[in-house]
Amino acid sequence: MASQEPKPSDAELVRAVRAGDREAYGRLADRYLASVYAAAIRITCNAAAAEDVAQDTFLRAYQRLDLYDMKHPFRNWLLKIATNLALNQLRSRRRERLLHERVAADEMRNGHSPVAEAAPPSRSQWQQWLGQLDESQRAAIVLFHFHEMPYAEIAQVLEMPLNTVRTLLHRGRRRLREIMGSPPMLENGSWNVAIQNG
Amino acid sequence: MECRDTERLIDAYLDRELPAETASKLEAHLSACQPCRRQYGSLVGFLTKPEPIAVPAGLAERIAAAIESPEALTADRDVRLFEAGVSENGRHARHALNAAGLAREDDSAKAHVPGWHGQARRPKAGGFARGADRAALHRWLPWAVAAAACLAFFLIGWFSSRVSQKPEQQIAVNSDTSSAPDAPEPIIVSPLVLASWAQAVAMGGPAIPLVPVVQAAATEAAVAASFERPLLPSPRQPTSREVPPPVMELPQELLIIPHVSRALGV
Ligand SMILES: [Zn+2]
Repeated sequence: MASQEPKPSDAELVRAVRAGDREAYGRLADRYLASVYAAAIRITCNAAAAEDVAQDTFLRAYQRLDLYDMKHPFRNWLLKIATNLALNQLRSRRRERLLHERVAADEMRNGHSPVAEAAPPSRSQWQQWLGQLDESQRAAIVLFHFHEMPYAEIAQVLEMPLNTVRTLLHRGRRRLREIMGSPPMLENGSWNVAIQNG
Repeated sequence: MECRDTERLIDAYLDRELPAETASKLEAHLSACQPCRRQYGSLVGFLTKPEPIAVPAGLAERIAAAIESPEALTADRDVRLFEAGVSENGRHARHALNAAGLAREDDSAKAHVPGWHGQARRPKAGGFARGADRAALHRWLPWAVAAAACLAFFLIGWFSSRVSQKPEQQIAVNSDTSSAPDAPEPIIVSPLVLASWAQAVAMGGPAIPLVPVVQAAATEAAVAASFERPLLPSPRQPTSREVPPPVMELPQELLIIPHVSRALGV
């Protein structure tokens, strides 16, 4: 991902953007879009949500570039923003779903047959696996295993102590192992589980 | 390496905390040992060799467009750069912020990122203007409500006084006998009542709405009772030829004040 633009370093590009060069930001975005999008879709388990998260991440990072501390890798800074946005997405989707369920329950009680929900988009195997973890377990696993983020930075993103991150990872992996060992989920059950109540 | 070593070391291996030599021994065992592979193979494979994820077509262009959009220009950064004489973009940003009355507002991230709340797919124009409207509304709404309430209570009192006031409570205003029956009647709602209502409203409304009603009624009753005692020479029934003595030469608007001073025994 970072191999496409070997010449200027992240720090040089950041300095150029800070000096008013918008094109330099485009190069940074090209460099890290794949990482940011991958983290977003793995945490949200939803392609449309992940696109929103990726777009908001780059817009927000551009607007707040002054807050970026050059001592840390630029990619990790973007991933932190993306993770927070993805977790926010999940929370607002959960609220919408609860509301939807309440409306559906009311309709059932009033004798209406609930309107059939649009079928969830078909999901790949990894989405079904990750979708069954709870949100913070999933975020910790995604950042640590797929984006090589160190514990300390994950702890910062998730706003929890380092040891809690470690516990989250261990529990998440144990849960993944159970999920992988169990028969594949029903297609329609998988979506609801993806947006966990926890 | 044996199977129980796998179980013992697998977490440290996945935590990337095993020395390289131990890690490669573990990997060798995992690839050779059927039971261990069945137990851990798919987890290790999933976590160490994840499926590549393709970026959807057009996403890069949409992001570029969002960065180029006028909303992106309203970034604090551009404003600060402009103020430092660095960025031309900042001039537009400063204009946008000024136009929205937000130039000196708190720079909380959410207020400054249009479409930030995670539902909007695209940054929406007008986010700043809406924010400014809301801020102004928060600032002025309580005052507007208090003023409207004062006016409303005043009008209610004035109208009710015109409907319900008894003739003996009237104060002679006009020295002109012939026009006395047509003279406008004085206002009975006292400033005390108005003030207590207005105070209740300005403080966000009473917890029990009945309380100010009862207070107002009690105050009104006290004011009304004070008129039972004839403090002024009782207006004689004027004959057509007789001119009653002029009692007060006050404009109609000020009549509420003597009511109160009399109620207070001043
Ligand atoms: Zn074994």
